[in-house]
Amino acid sequence: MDPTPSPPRIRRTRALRLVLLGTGVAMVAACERQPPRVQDQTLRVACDQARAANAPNWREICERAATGNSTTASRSYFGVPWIMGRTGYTSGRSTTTGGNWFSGRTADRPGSVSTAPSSRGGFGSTAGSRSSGS
Amino acid sequence: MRRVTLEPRAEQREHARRLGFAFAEIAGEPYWDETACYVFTAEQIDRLEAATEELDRLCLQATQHAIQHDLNGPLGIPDGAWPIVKASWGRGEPSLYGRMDLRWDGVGPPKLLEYNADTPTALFEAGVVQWEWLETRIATGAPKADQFNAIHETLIEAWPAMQLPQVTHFCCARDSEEDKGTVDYLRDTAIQAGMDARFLYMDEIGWNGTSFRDVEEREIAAIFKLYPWDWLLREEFGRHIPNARTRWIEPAWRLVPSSKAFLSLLWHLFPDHPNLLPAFLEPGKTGRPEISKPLWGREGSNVIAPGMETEGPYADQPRVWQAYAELPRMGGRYPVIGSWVIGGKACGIGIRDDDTPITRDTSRFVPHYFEAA
Repeated sequence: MDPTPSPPRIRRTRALRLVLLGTGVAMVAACERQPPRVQDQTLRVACDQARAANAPNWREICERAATGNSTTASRSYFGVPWIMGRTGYTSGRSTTTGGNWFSGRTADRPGSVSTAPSSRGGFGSTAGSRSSGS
Repeated sequence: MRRVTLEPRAEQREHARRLGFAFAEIAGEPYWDETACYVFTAEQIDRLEAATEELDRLCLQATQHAIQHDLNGPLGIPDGAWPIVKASWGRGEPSLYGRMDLRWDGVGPPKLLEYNADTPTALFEAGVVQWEWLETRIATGAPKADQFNAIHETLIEAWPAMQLPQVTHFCCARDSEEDKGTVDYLRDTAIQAGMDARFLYMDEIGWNGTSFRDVEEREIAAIFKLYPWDWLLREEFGRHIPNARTRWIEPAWRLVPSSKAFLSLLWHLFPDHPNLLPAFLEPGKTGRPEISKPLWGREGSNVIAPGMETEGPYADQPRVWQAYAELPRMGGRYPVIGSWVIGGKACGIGIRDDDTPITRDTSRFVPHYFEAA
């Protein structure tokens, strides 16, 4: 017995919006079209914006801003105000935790909870060639 | 239901890039395929929707039965995991989403092949990419048509009903663009629902002796994981799960419908139901040609069907034997319909097709539309 069908699905009025996907990707693409020196500057801005927006690829953008273009401008990246405002960081390394800031270890960020460092790596070992999706 | 070949849009890659669809190609092979589409009638879509909601109802009943009668053994769920499963069910933790894979050719009742109740993927492409494909085709002169697709808005509606803390983490394994893209899409919908949705990789989850912690040493109060429960539980930190307050999404009780042994339980409880195929935990009981699947297999690995056997890492697992219902062949391809249940509602479909009757990780996502009644 097939259940009684419900009314037809009319979806023509959908207004579909993405707030996170696509944004960061577009920023990187825009950077790639610019000359190297400008590119460094733009990447820094992109990094700043992407990180503030918690864009999915902010780490990649910031990594490129920091090291992707080995010019003076990009190496001075760590001097920009938003990273200076956080204590304990030099050259992208946290002296507090010993971790790379790209991993997001910002124990001194407002609102965070400081505790003894957790152990990590206890999940994720089964992944690899096996896709978790199905 | 029919497969129609089409001229792909000229700016296909640009469309994918703009959407942030990073896995339109996987390992150099096309995954998103708009050289064809599947076409339904409105009446067929109604039948798919009704069958999906009916199957969801059966699955919840069967899960209740399994938990009430402690069927963890036959389901292949380790003893140690069972209290976690039961506690999760007892707390009434809601499920966000699941994908039922259906065998259908547009005629007769759709049949459940399996239920991806824990880590279903192909969500972003079903919810967003195929919709954008239809919109742009219509905008460039294709006849007006509709799509069974309320996935995106149903996700946004579903998040508040999950009653999660404001800060909820999202995670998946490294090195899979598809998994990362799916998780980012879910974060996107969670952000639109007003949540603070933060990402971290599985191996970044910390344990400080009393609680799971993110990379900033904040307690993880709730976490969406695109990572199977059967993997979580056997890894080093799996033993901490019962001792932590962290809420997991999908909840642990989804291990029950995720086990392919659940197909045999469904058949046992609802024999001859038109949307089910006979299934048993031993071979030769269906009275028909059979397909056997590992209980915790994925992506069509280690499946044995008449004249076919796939490779994979799950060969040593216990199996379920299901009456073999070969996928229909349309335009030389074998489509499987992934029908989405989100927040308890059937809300859309995505179709993957393959040049073999077994849907694998190399199968392609093909969009669909339906002709209004």
